[in-house]
Parts: sequence; C-alpha cells; structure tokens
Amino acid sequence: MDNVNLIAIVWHRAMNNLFSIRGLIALLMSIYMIVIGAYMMDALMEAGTVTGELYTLFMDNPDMKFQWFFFDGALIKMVTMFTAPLFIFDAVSGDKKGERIGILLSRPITRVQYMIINLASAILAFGIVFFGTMIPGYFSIQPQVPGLTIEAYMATTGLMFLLGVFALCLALFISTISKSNLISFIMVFGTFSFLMLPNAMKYNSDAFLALSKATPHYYASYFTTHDVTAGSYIAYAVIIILLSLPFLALSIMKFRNEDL
Amino acid sequence: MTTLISMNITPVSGDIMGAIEIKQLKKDYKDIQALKGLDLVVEEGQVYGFCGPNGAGKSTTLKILVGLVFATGGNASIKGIDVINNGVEARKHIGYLPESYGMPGGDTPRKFLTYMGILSGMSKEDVAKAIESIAAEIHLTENLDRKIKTLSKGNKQRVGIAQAMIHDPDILLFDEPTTGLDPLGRNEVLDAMKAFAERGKTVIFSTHILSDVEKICDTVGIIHEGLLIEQGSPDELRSKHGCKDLDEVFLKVARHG
Repeated sequence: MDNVNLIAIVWHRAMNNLFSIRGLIALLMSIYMIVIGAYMMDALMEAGTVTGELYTLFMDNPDMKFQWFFFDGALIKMVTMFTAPLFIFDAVSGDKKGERIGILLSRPITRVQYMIINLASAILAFGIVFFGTMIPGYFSIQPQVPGLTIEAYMATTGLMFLLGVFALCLALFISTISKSNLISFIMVFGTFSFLMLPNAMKYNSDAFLALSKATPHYYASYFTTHDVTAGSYIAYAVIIILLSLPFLALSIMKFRNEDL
Repeated sequence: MTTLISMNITPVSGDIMGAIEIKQLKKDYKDIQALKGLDLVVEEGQVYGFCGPNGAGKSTTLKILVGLVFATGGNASIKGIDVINNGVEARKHIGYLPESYGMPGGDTPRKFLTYMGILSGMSKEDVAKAIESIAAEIHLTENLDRKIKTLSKGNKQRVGIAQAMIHDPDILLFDEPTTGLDPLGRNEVLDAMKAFAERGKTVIFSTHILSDVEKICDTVGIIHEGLLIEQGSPDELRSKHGCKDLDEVFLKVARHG
C-alpha cells in the first residue's frame, strides 16, 4: 500500500468543513465583516477622523470609548478571531466525543499527522473564506481610499489571516485538552472574547490598556492608513507565528501519548 | 509464563510466525492492571474468537494492536511488524472496527468510505472501485448514497465493516461486531468475516456471543483478568472440558480463573 497522500486528505477535510453549516456561518461573518468594514471606512474617511480616536456610540458611558481602528483593523481581527475557530474548535474533541477517533487513527497515519491534517485543513478552509471575501472587499474599499494599494491591503489582510492561524492553533490546543465539544466551544470563544475585548474598547485603566498591548492581535492592529513599513509587517508576521507555534506544539505533545 | 504452562496453553515461541504475535503484553491504567503479560499468536488465515468477561482486556488488546492505547510492557506485532515502534507500517495491514464508533451522519456511506480510503493511502479511483466491490459483497449497494444518519443499525454496521475492509487489509480486528444486532444482521456480519477469511485473510474478533464463535472460528482464546487462560479450537475446548457448548466452557473457565 502506498503512503497516504496528506494533501488529498487535507483538501477533502477542508471541503467537508467549507460545505457545512459552519462554512456557511463563516462565510456570512466574513461578508458582514467586509461590508461593514467598507462602509465604516467610507464614513470615517469622510469625517476625517482616522488620525485619532473616535469618541462615538458609547459616549454615554464615560468608562468606555471606541478606538478608531476598531472600525478597520479591529473589526476584521475580531471577526477573524471568531471565524477561524469555527473550523477547528471541535476537531479533536469532536472526533473523540463522536467516537470517530478510533476509526481515523486505525489508518496508517501518525498522531502528529492527524493533528497537522486538522490544522492544515482548517487553515485552508478559513483561508478560502477569508481571502474569498477580503479580495473582493479591496475593490469595494479602494474607490473610497485612492491611496490604498493592493500591496498594502494584502499585507495587512495577510497579517489578519495569520491572526486567524494563531486563533486556529490556540483553538486546536483547547480542542485537544477538552472533554467535550461544548466545553471546547465555550473555552475557545470565551478565550477569544477575552482577547478581543481590550482591542474593541478600553477602560480608563492603565492595567487594562497594558493587557491590550500584550495580546498578540495588538501587533496587527494597524491598517493601511498607518505609515508601517514592509519590514514591520514581516516582524508582526513573525511574532504572530512565534506565538502560534507553542500552541501547536502543546497540542501535539498532549495528544501523541494519550490513550484513546 | 508459568501460568500458561500450568494451564496447558502453547506459549509463544520465537519460531512461530503468526499474523498477530503478542508477547508478555502489559497495560496498566491508574489503578487497574488491564493486561498482565498476555501471550497470543494468531496464525494467518484463521478466524480467531477472542472471548472473555467484561473488563478482561479484550478491547485493550485490540486497541494496542491498532495503536490507540499504549502498552506499558511486552510487545506485539502484525505480520512481523512491531506495532509499538512501527505502528504506521503495521496499520497498513489492519482493518479495525471498534466496539462503539461514530460516523458523520450527514455524509453518505460513499463519501465517508472515500475519505477512509484516502486516509488509508488509496487513490480516489481505487477507492471508488473498492467501494462498489465491498458494497456488493456486504449488501450495501442500494444505501451507498443515502445519508448515514438515515440508515438502520444493521446498515450502519455494514458501513463500519466496509470502512475496515476498504483498503483490502490482511487482518481484520473487530471489537464486538455483532453486539446489538438482530439475528439476521449478526449472520450477515459473520458471513462477511467468514468470506474475508476464505480469501486467506486473518480475522480476530472479540465477542460475548459464543454461538457466533462456534459458527465461524477456527480458534478461540479466552482471556480473563488480563491473561489468556484457555485457547484451542471450539471442538478441542468442548472435549477438553467435557461441555456441550462453548457457553459452558466459558463459564467453567471464567469461574475458575
């Protein structure tokens, strides 16, 4: 018998993910992201508020204020961080709970390969949804922001995509240590809610702001209107990848010697 | 080993080349010693019935062979390939049906089996051919394109059997494959195993239903508290213990440990 064709397996699993209810939810969230993003970009550019913080919407609450980048970078990040895990939050826990794991791992694949298949297929599925909506989004945003080049846009969205990969690695780890899909779901989306909270709003608290800066998504919180050099993008990308890898490693370490 | 000799069971020697060889296999869970040094050889082309009370270590043994559970001592091989250190290579020769398992209910058997085939290293074309062939053999053809969740329990079990056979393995490991099936379904599963063995393949299956064992097994092994305590053909065991059927043999052996 030949060795297994990992690419074919990843493709098969990714397509299964995409053409499912979770694929539909991810697609709708991404469309929402880009439509709202384009609309807000347009509105903010006209209002000339992109250089500073925008006090809006929650002005009635003195403890809370929106930052301007919420409407461009952070909105995309937020949706990214919640969309990506849809493809993986129940990868391992679901296979265990659904008692599929015995059948899957009786095949000539290693447990490390099994984890890589889960991650790679989720990255592929997420990537198709993400870039499938972000690329058309460029053409809707660009007419309103003439200075927005495709290179800058792709570099920024590339960082957002890497944030999605970070989300996938973290969610894979949570799925590996969880006993059930429900626990995994709560842990994954609870974690991302916590991570994204300081990015969407900030309290008048230095400690909270410090936490915001410590979280990885902070490094990709710039959008194209910032004067960020190409080198910075690469540095941000490296930082996000370096933050992702430990979660992948932990997942594999946990799973590879586990009795099933 | 003393235990085996005193019970007149052939111990595993280095000369025997079985489809499955297990030597002094041990498995400790936190407080439980599931396997206490199991020795077992299953010859090629045999149908081997693996019997024993609940918690005797049957499923643990099969899971170690598949690589789902890690042994704490001893070794095991499939066609001479060490399953502990070279599990991937060993699993190329195995088809496994767990005691309880799930399948994606929204998928059709064809889609599910295609994925299983690809996971086993087959090309899509080969999987497509294999699906048609196996489906015809186990009477699954007319249900290949229905959703799995709409199938009856017997038909779901057919899909389970098909996934184990899709890559034409040399050895089938079935963990209680007939449990919960009606007599008709049980017979079909037994027929499928028998047909598989008639092609020169090896089948090892665990069960509580000893009438199933009598129907198709060449050899029966009775495991109790993590040790193989009796082994032989159904006829040998009946005459050795002076019993009229394997149920009696099982009760006699299990009660006396």
